[in-house]
Amino acid sequence: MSNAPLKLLFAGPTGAGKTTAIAAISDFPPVSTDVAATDEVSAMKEATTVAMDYGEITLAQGQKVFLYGTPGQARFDFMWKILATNSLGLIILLDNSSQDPLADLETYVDHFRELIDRAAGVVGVTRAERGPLLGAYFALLQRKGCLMPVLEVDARKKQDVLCLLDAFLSVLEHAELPDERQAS
Amino acid sequence: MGKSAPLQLATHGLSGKDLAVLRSLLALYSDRVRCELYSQSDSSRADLHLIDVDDPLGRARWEALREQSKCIVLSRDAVETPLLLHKPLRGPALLAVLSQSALDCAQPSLETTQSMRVPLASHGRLLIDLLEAKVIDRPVCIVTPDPDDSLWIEPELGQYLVSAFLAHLRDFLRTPLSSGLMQPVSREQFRQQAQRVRPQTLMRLRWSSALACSDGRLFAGIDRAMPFRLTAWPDMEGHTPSFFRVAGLLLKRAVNFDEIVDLTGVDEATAANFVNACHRCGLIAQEIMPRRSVTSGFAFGGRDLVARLRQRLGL
Repeated sequence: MSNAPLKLLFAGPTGAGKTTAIAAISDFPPVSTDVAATDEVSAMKEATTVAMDYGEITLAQGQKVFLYGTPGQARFDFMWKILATNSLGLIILLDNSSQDPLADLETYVDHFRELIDRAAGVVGVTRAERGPLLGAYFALLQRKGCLMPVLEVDARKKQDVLCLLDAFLSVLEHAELPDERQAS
Repeated sequence: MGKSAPLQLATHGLSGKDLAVLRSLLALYSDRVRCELYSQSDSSRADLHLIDVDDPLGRARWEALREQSKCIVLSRDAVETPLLLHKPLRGPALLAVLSQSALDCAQPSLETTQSMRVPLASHGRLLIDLLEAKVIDRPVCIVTPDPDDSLWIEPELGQYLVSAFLAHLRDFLRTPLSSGLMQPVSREQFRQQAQRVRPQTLMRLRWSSALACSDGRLFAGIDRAMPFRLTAWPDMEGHTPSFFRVAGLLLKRAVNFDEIVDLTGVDEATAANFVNACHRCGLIAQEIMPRRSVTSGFAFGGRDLVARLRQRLGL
């Protein structure tokens, strides 16, 4: 068994809760490259992640799992593919109260489809009390033939983040994992 | 309703214990439905007859009265009758039946308004059967064991409303419904209720109802030797790790039932309940393509890695 580090990707639009979710499980507070928002994001929150979030979890025998949160803004989508390479899988977080969360889901599924099919993916819907019903997400995924768990989560609650990860790991357990020797 | 004349209710064949429960429930709900009790010997003035048909005398009385009088049947069995209360006598069910009866007595014309009637085919059937057969063809409100909560269904929108977690309604979901528990509502009433309770799609209710009705044995209609897989992650409420294990496996691989138990470590009854619920919701597909080995599919110690991740995360 290789002890090479592995990586896990958190994706989703700005404000969906990626940084908070990584903070819930990382060994240390995530290293974030948050800056004051000056673009259209400033209407949504004061600071935003311009490159990526980074956290780690250390497993028994010292093996590391790097946690990467992709930048939310679409102009950084060139980084998504780089980050996805040899990732264990993808956790998509979507803000249900945003303008069109279903379109956001479609964007991420289209970008990361190969990773989801090969490894594992899960969708966490935050602020679920507003916006489309969860059933709309299931319907969209079914229409696209994409097999992923969908769960309502509050990214501020560690238990919710763990529940999301449990669903993710349940799928990952039966996936073809990347060669750990290349995963870093 | 409180200002209308009290409902005259005659009882037949009830045990002393059931009568005591009835009296105490009527006292409890006196602000919602007014009711005067009569014994069997003085029942000529009654608007309504509550009859324990498990008692031979009560059964005979019901046979005599059922054609010309309005009867509520009390029984531990499923009885083909419009107004049925299951034993033990429970407050919400009693309240629903009496409220409907009081309404019928006050406004007999309502009874003949077809557009506001609950389909008779719904009586004595499980909710999952009604949802599968699409018997509920208009918005309805169903009384649940919680007097402050009720289950609203809008078939056209494919939505339901209820405050409680469906897991907490397990007993209710596995009990045949009495038509007395089900009231038709208008779309506007449903819309107003949806301002108070977050709607969910009917698939979640259907899955939870199917789960509640599964008895831990794989349906006879599912071939346990035949590999199958999930066509979608079911809309499950909450976090049930054993269901997640089975769902994760079936999303990725086509396996037969024994392999599910072997590969997930989930006990057979739990796995059967999950598979049965998914099967009833149309989420199971039989695999007809040749499949890869299920024992050597973990490329680089994936199960060990996942086990270590779970251990680290306390899952």
